[in-house]
Amino acid sequence: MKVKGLRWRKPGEFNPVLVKELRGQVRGARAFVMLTVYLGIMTCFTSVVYAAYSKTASTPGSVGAMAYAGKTLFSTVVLLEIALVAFLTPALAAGAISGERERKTYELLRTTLLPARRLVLGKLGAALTYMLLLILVAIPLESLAFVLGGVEAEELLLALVILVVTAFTVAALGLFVSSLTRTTLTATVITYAAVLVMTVGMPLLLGIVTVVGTSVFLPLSSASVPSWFEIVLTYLFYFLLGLNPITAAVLTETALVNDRSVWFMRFSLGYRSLWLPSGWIVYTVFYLVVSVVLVVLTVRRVRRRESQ
Amino acid sequence: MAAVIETRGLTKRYGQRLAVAELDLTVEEGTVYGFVGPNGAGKTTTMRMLATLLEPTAGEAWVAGHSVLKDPRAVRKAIGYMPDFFGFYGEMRVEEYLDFFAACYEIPPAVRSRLVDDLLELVELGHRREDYVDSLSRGMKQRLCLARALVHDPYVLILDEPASGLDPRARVEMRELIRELRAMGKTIFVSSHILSEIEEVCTHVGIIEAGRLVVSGPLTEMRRLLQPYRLVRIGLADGRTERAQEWLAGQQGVQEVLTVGGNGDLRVVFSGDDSALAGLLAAMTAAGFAVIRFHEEEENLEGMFLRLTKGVVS
Repeated sequence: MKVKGLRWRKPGEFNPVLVKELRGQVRGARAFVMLTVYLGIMTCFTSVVYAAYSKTASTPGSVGAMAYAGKTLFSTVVLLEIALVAFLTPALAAGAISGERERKTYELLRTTLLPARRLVLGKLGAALTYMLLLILVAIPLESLAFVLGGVEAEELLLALVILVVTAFTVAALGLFVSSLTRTTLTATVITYAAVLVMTVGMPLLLGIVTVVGTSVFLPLSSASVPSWFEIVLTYLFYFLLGLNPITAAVLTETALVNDRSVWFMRFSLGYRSLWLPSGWIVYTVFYLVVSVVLVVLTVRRVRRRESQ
Repeated sequence: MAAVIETRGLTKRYGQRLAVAELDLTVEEGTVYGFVGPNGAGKTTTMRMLATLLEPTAGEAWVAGHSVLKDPRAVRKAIGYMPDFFGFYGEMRVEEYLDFFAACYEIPPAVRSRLVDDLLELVELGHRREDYVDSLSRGMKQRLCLARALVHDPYVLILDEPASGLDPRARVEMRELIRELRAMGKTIFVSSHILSEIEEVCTHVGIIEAGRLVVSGPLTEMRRLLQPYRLVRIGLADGRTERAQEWLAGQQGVQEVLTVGGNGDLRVVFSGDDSALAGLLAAMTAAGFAVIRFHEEEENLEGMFLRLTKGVVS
């Protein structure tokens, strides 16, 4: 039984979990069906937006009208893509650890020499690889806007950054939840709930806060010199807006258009101008930190021995 | 002989329930240790603690000289663990399954394909290597599980109920495999709730009940230890059972005389060696009893087991 040359070596080859997961992904029909449906939905929306433009524009061929159509097309595709990435990633990530438990392979894996870190990173890598594929295949659709004009390369690049960060965050979240629950169903439900709070719940809450807040603080903001309280409040509110992928994208676009800046956005408060970091920076920094923390917690959970 | 598995005061408590209570276990090198007990006695819990999966409440355990608590990686390298369930990826082929686990054990790709060949040959699954794991029969899955536990050429095998749920033929095959592994020099720690199932392959037996080790030792010694009395069945031609019973009760070495079944046979609980037993037969015929049957009944381990464990399950 002793095979000659069978020596323990430092892990240098591909992560076995990543290889296994990727192979499993493309083996079933799911990966292809998902890709097709995703591209189908995006293409439909793009066509509808384009059709709407050509029907309604008063001067369809003019540079201004085309730029407007290009911008609309681009924003539609990006917003749709953010939503699709946010809601497709849980399907890939939420079963990562709990699925191993359900198949009863988790304990088998835990008795091998595979470190918890490699198991978690392999799973994360597999989910992200597929999401990156989805993000990449949509680039041609986004690039249609370049034909019409009105969209610059920076916008496409920043949109990609927001999309990748979203995929990473949701995947890390799904993995973390998956490491805690016994079943994939529970993990999926919890992950979707969290994503829903992040994408829809938070802007809704912010909207309510704004309506109530403006009626209370309006007398204050009419003062020509803003108080420190107003400044702090503005920063806080801006920060919260930056935590949602869609508002972050809108803020990024505002900074690009109004201030011609990739990095900063000027906000006037009375006589004072506040310089705020562009939306995508707030979004990226915050969620990268959150994701890394989630990944570390997941690794810790997987490394721990069971108590039951 | 060096101890390959050793536990000292190993304890696991689930809330109020004590699953394993201060277990002191020693499994020596090159032995096949049968860990026997009724369902729920703490066999799986003990094995999961040894396999570094479950956190013990108290106590310590060593496998191949490495502390289970302090050096789990070294322990994982030393053990091949086969749980009491199948763990499979349905969409994986037999050879991919073994290759995947070999990769998880950090075995370099260059040797993996040879290794998979050898393992499939050992468990006689070579002809099914391209098939999906899902399509295998229960017995084949169990053998594949065993092959999986062997990918890193472990020093010790921890097999939890390897024969459960298998048909008689698959059970025999599993027994043969365990014998073969022992011949390869592996130390094997195997559990079962049916003693007779592993009696044939074990060199040592430990009986656990309600989390406590009732007895433990070499199989031969266990038989002696558990059977201090011999059971002798005596049949008479003339049916003078009652007189014989009276007479036997007065003889040396006879502990108890019982009647058996409807044919008037007697069962004598006797303590003494072979010559004492032969003397009893001679004395009996000399006393005029028409003895037509006189033979020793061998109590199997199953009976011992039932005698020892009164069916108390934690």
